[in-house]
Amino acid sequence: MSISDFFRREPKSLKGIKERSGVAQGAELALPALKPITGEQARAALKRSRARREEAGGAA
Amino acid sequence: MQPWPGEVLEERAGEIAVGFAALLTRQAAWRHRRVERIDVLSHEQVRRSVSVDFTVPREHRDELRLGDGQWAVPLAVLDKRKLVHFDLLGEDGYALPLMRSDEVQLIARELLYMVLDLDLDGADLDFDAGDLIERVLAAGPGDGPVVSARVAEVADRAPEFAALATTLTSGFLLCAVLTDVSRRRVVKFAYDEPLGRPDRFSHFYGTQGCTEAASYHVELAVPDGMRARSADMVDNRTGGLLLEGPRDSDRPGLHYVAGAEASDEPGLRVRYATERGGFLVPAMLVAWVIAAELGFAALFADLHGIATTGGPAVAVLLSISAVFSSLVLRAGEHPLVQLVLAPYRMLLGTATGMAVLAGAALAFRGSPTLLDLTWGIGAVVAVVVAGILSIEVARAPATAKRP
Repeated sequence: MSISDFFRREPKSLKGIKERSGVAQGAELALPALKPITGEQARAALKRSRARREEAGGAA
Repeated sequence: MQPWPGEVLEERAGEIAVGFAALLTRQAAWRHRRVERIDVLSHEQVRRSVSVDFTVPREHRDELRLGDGQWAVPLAVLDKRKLVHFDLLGEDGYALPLMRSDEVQLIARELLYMVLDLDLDGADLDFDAGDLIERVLAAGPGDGPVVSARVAEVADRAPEFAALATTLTSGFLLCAVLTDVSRRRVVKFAYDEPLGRPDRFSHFYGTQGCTEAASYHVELAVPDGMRARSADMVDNRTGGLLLEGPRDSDRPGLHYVAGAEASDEPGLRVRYATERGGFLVPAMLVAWVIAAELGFAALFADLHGIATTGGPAVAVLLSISAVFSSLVLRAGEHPLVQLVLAPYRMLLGTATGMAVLAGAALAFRGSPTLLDLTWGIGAVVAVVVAGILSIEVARAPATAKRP
């Protein structure tokens, strides 16, 4: 037992507390907050992106 | 000839990605609740169990259809590292099928192209999107920095694509295959994870999923013999307190509803302590008994006279050893409790050792100087140990009332 263990006190700030603790980060990642996409927008985007890919494939 | 399962997915990947785009950009609108439970298995490992309560919106059910009577539902994004003891279970506790990473890649590829198209909003591409997307999907745990740097180069032209691609560089979509999405469902997944930098008192458990449902609940199964002195949700980046949890709880639970303010690095910060009843109080009492025996004898007894008859000294020696052994050799204790209590056991061991030494000096008829030294030093050590243990008892939480 170290002296600092015996005199353990709450840190003044919790900023960066992860670096001063035992850490279980979790295997999950947060998805970025993207603008909501409707089904119609997504379908139209899929169609356009496929056409673009076909075009690029044809050009190659 | 009917298509084989792999061919079905290739055909359906675009349509499923349409459904995923709608669901993943409004996660709190269809995921009612997420409950995370963290079990501290040892001082090196925890098990995290997550249950996701959701209803697939009727308008997107057809899009998620994989084939006859099967639907793919995105539950979370998981890190690409290897998961230990991973389970995916339905409400009834039976295992559910999980889409393989190469299957999910087919959908993620379409999703990335889709988000890129929306980002570009009709503008021409001035980078090789196909190559970048393939690198993102194929990135392994060690490729993250290189691929993320390439993604960052296009962030000003396609910010949402870059944000999604960065996440999918280091993670993959966890997708369950369900046979019924016509009703509200609860799907559970669980895995073990190591505890980096084991610490005796302060732990930080990442809670990245706290914004991915309308309501988030996290509970901690504290090992027997311990209490969580505090369990708060904090933002590690800013140090801000997101939610204050209960104090001195043996099973703290926090209910969090994410507001408009986004937290960069949310987590559950827990400060542990051992209960005073299990070891600390008996240890303190034993230490005071040793201190009293050694101290009073050193001050008032005729030690040299007693040394001529070894009987009482041997009795003291044996009785202390017996009490000490019953406190130290405790089987079935949780590994984290053992780790926290180890220094106090060492202290008690030191006091007992001094008592044994003093008793031995008496039993073997040591010289008056040796008797004075062993009993005097032993008494001082025992008083210091008893003092430290008393302070720890005063600091420690009371023992939980368990049924």
